[in-house]
Amino acid sequence: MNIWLHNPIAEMYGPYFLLFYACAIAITIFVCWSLSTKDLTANLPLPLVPSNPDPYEIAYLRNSDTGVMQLVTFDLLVRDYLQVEDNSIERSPTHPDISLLTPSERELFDWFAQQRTRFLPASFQPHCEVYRRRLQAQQFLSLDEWQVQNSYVGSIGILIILGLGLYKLTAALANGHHNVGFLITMMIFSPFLLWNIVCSSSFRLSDRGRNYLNQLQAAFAQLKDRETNSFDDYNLIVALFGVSVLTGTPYDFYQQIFATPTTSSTFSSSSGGCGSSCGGGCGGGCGGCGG
Amino acid sequence: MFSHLPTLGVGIGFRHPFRSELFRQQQQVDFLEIVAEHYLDASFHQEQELELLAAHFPIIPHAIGLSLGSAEGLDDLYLRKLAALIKRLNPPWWSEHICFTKAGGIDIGHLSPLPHTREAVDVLCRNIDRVRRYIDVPLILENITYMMAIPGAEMTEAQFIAEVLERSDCGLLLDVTNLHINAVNYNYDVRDFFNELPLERVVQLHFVGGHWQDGVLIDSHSRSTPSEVWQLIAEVVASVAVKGIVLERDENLPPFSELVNELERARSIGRQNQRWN
Repeated sequence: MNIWLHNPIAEMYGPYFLLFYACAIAITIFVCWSLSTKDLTANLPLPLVPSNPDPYEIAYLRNSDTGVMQLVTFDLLVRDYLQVEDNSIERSPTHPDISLLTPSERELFDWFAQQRTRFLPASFQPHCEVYRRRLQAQQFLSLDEWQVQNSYVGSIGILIILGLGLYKLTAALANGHHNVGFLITMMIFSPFLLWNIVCSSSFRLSDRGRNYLNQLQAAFAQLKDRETNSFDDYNLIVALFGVSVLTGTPYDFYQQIFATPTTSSTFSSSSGGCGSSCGGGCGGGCGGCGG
Repeated sequence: MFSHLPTLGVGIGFRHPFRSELFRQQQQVDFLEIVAEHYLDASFHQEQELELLAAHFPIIPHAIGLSLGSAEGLDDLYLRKLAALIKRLNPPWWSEHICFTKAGGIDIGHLSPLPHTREAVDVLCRNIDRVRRYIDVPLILENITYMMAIPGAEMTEAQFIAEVLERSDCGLLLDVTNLHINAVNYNYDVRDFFNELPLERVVQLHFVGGHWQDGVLIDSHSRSTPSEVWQLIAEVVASVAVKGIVLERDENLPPFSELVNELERARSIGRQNQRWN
């Protein structure tokens, strides 16, 4: 037991240990950062902005499944398949021919057979898989492996920092020293710092995806400000910037449904709203969260 | 003479309000002309905009404030900034006006005509020589409109332009609208003007429409291109291997589809003469 309480580290003079501990933290963070998987996609050239971008793909890029579902719902509303009634959405009794609907549109149309006030169906998610695969192929999305590997590296680094700190804390208390405030402070804050640095690439979008979304938003930003837009333009606007940009447009009613997330009229993805999907850079706001 | 320059086709002067529509209909536009001054002291957003545009279109910088006709010489700082911009964009050519915009250190904010004298030719050529020490990209010079003819002319405007082009070995950015406006306001025949110009030096054309005010045709860039200008464009394109033509609309911007219609008309003129696709 003596060796644990009586050795150069356990008996090191407090301020010197804090200096030593700070160095150990810095080295640990540096080593973990070196070992973490870097998102190198930022160096890849971006694709050119297409004349007619696929709004559903963009909606997925910006806001995952929720973005696509919002866009499909908006599309069905505008094409009179759905209607807003008492601040909730339902099928329009005078809807056009449903044989014209795509499978994803049909999925939502069927789901709106009853007046819906809460969540959108989880069964819609497979319809988004095609967009996820396309975006993944273009390296616009972070790879799950990056996140897992970085989490391991980050966890090991945190264990080292906390382990050393806890050991010194225990030894100090056992040796009758109680002035451990700085040590505890460093033990609390340094793991957060390490996690932020090592796992900063754990966003939903890769750097390339974020840059591409920013490029698209910059290219088409002025569509938001025009007094009149075609229906295709509105689809693109909603895909790029979320439903909040519909404020003051002929489709303001749709935006209002998402505007108050705490009311029963709001609906979002059954997978729990946008959650982590916004972390990757929603850009124009998190429409899926009702914001 | 300028046959080594690439043919760019049909372009438009980039204006911020139609940026989104430009991307929506980018297949209708072969290249862009930017006003260089907008990007000399660019903000972060302007830098991003320029990067975005340059990734999608060939870009021709069009300078308006170099003041090539200033007898006092050129603004060094301005010239260095312009050179840096042109180097960054690496265009096949760039353009400025045959005019002065600065005098006595004051920017008068207007493309002002030069007297058609040998001394003015000397000044222009001396300044262009200086510009070439900073910028090795071919320079083409544009004819301007003027509200008054400077007295003491030793030659006609066409002879003046021809002399400057020959001595400085520059290409000509023939603004067909300016030519039409001057011809109307000063009552001369455009064909006579053409006869005195070295048309083989024409590299690029500008076109747009102006408006009438108090009996004077104003180069306001605010109307669609009039039929007389279309006729002149057809004549020039038929006789000269023009490398590019740019619609230069600034004011009273119509829906972008109307601009695209004008671009299509210019494209069809070029196609008829096998100048571009």
